[in-house]
Amino acid sequence: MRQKVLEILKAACPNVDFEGNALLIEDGVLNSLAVITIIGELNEKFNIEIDADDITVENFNSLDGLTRLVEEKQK
Amino acid sequence: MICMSKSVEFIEAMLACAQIGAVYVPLDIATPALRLQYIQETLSARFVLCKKGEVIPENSGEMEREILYIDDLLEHEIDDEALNQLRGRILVTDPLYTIFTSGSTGKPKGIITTHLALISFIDAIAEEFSFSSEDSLANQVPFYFDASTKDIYLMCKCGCTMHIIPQKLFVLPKDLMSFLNEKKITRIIWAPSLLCMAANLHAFEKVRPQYLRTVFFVGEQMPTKQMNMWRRCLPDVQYVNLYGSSEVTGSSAYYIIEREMDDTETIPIGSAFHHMELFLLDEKDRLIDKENTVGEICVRGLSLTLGYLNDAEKTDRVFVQNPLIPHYRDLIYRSGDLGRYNEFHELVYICRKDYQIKRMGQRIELGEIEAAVGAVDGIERTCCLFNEKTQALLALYTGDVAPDHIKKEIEKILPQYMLPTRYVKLEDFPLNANGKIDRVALKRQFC
Repeated sequence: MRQKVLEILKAACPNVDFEGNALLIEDGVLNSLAVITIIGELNEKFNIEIDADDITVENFNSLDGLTRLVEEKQK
Repeated sequence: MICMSKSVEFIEAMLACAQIGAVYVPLDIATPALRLQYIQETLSARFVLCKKGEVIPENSGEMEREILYIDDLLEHEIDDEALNQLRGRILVTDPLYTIFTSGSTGKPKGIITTHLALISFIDAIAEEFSFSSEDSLANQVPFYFDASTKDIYLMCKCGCTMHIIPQKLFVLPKDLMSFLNEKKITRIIWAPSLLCMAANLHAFEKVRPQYLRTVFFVGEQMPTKQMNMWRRCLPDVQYVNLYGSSEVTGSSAYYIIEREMDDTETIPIGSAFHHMELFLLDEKDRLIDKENTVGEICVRGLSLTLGYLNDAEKTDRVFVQNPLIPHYRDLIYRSGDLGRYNEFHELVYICRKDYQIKRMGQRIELGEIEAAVGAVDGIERTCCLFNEKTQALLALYTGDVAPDHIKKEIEKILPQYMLPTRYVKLEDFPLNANGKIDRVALKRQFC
C-alpha cells in the first residue's frame, strides 16, 4: 500500500520529495496547492473522501501518515 | 530593499523607512537571486534590510550590496533631532514604497506608491468599514503584494490587532479556522484561492469562526459559488468584494454583498472608495452610462500611483489625460479591465481587455464563459483560452466533472458561438508569481 500511495503522490507532485526526512507540513515541503492536488488524487484513485477533518499535521507530515490515512478511509 | 520572512521585524523595517522618507521595496526572503539582482539594478539600491539568522539570496551581480540587520538597527538609540530633520523634508507626494509585480514580458515591473495615495486609501477604507481597536485581523497576503498594506496600515491607523497566519496553516484548513477563533479574528482580507479551499473542503462547517464579522475578497475575482457556500454557512458575516489593481494603491472600489446572488452571477465591483472615482469609457473614449454596454474601467482620484519605475513610455500609455476633461490636467488610470453595468446598475468586471476575442465575427468575453463553467456543480476553478489560428475555444478546469455534463449545463446559459470546442480536466492550475492562474503558461501548453 505504501508503495502504491507513493507512486500516486509522485505522479501528482513530481517536485516534492516524499521519501526524505523532512516533515512535509511542518518543514513547509508541501504548499497548499500540493495538498489540494494530493487530496484530489487520493480521493479518485482509492475512491475515498478526505475532508477538512483529515487534513492534519499527523496525517500529512509523512508518507507513512498518508498511507495510514488511506487505509483507514478505505475501511 | 527589505528582504525578510513575514514577521514583526518586517513591519518595523517598513515603518522605519516611512519615517525617514526612504522608499522601501518589500521582498520575500525566498526571492530568487536573479530576480533580486534585477530589482536591485533597476532601483540602483544599495541597502538591503535583513534579519539575522535568515539565508539571504546570494548576490551574483556586479553591484555592491550593503546588508543591514534590523536586529542591530533596533538596538540603536533614536536620535530625535536627526529624525525630525528628515521628517520635515518629506512631502505627501513623495514615494513611500515600490511593489514589483510580474510583468507580461517576464521582467518584474516596479510600481511606485506615494504617502498621499496610501493615506487617502487607508483613510477611506477605515471610515467606510469602521475599523477600530476592537478589530483583530489575520494577515494572509504576502508583504510584497500591495494588497497587504490594508492589514498593515489599518493596524497602524486604527489600532487593530494584526496576527500573521503561520505558513503551515494554509495547508490545514481546519486548523486555520481554529486559529481564527483562538485569536478572536473579526475581519479577514484574503485571496479567493484560500477562501475557496476552505469552502471546497467544508472547513468552516467543521470549525465555525465565531468572531468573524467581515470577509473581504482581494486580488482576484471571488467565484460566486464558493462565496455562496460561505454565506450559507456563516450568514451573519458581511462579505465584501474589493476591486483594484497594483497601479492604484489599495483598492479602488468595494461591493457589499447584500442581495441574493445566483451562482452564475458575477460579484459586482460596486462603488468607488472615498477620494476615488470609477467610470467606463467606450472604444471612442465616450462615457458609458447605459446598462450592459461593455467598456474599459477607468480610475481617477488620490490613490493613483506614480506609475512604472524607469518606464515612462509604459506609464504614459495607461496613466493618461482624462478624455472627458479637455480643459485642465486630470490624470486617469486606464485599467485594461473591461466592465459593464448590470440590471441593478452595479458595475461588473468582465475580463481583461486582452481576454476579449472575436470568433466567427462575434465578440466574446472569455470571462463570461469562465463564469458559466465555474458555476457548474463540482467545478473548482476554470480558465478559458482561445487559439486564434485554429479558432478553438478551450475550457480548462479542475474538479470532478465530466465534459459532457459541463456542456449540457452551460448550453442552458451561453449562446452556441460561445461554447468551448474542447474541455480539458487539469489536476491543478499553474500559478504565476502573484498567485493568479498563469494564462501565459497555459497558452503555451495548450494553444
